[in-house]
Amino acid sequence: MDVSRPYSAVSPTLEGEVLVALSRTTHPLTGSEIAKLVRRGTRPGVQRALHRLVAHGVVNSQEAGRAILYVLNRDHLALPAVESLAGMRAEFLRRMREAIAGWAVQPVHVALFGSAARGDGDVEADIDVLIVRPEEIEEEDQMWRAQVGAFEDAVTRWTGNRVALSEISESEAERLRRDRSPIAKELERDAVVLAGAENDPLRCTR
Amino acid sequence: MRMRGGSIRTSPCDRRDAALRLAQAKKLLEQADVVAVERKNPAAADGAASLAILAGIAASDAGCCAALGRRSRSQNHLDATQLLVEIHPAGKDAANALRRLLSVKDKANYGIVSVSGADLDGVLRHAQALVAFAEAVMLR
Repeated sequence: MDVSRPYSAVSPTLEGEVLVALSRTTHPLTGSEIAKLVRRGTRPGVQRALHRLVAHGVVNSQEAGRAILYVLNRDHLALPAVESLAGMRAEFLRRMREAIAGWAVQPVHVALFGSAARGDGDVEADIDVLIVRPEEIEEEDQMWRAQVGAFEDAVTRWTGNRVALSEISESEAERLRRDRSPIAKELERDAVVLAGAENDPLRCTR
Repeated sequence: MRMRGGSIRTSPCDRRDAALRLAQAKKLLEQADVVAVERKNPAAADGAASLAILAGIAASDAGCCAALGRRSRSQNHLDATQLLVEIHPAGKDAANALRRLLSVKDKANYGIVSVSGADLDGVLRHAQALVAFAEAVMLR
């Protein structure tokens, strides 16, 4: 699955892109404005998708001077499905956070990073996850390994993608931060926190 | 369908701008929390409030860029509330949070009247709400 556009797993055409873009606003937009908001596709392609969506009544159109404005029809029967598509990325994060919250041995920090965090990956992209392990827990601790393994399996079942796990201890996190390693800069910029108090995963040591 | 527009001046922006403004908002909020630890010092309380207000403004920009592809470029930050209400879902709540933040802005910036402890709690809470709102918009 393309984690940056998960709705494309079930709605791979431009209609899905257009619906998700329109779902973010109640404000009527021109075709050209919508073309700028979608993450792929050409302006003529977006225009054709809009015509099809208007024909199905899920998008309303109205002339305003020389322009035609489009807005999502929030009374349409298909609206719950559109909202569900638009909420898939949030649902993915919710499931991951919920799974981690249930761990018997709590991590110091967990963050999504890389393309899945930035939202610029593709269907083949690994899902990069950083886990900071409490210092007192051995890397091979049985319970720890079991919960991390189960988490990896679950994420793969939810998405179809492989999890690229970077697991470090608190002291390793501290060292990476001190050395200003390239991954430290990437984490500071892009990380999406799944567990832990700090925004920056490498500043999480207790 | 209502007419578009209003009189506010906007500039175009995209998801990349949104990500940058959201990162700035988080950093500012983080700093606000650090300074707020010394809240008994009136200067620190004002400083923390100013940082949180800037965080809220940056988060509002992020939400507008991600959902609407444009942000306010008016000198009056209150104009941004007109854009926020167009965002679905929770745009109205975000507009209210920004309005509440801006009501404390002058007080905090000019130090004529110090921000009280209760004001600071509210400012930090509204800024956090705006950052959470922008994050949710980015996820759609």
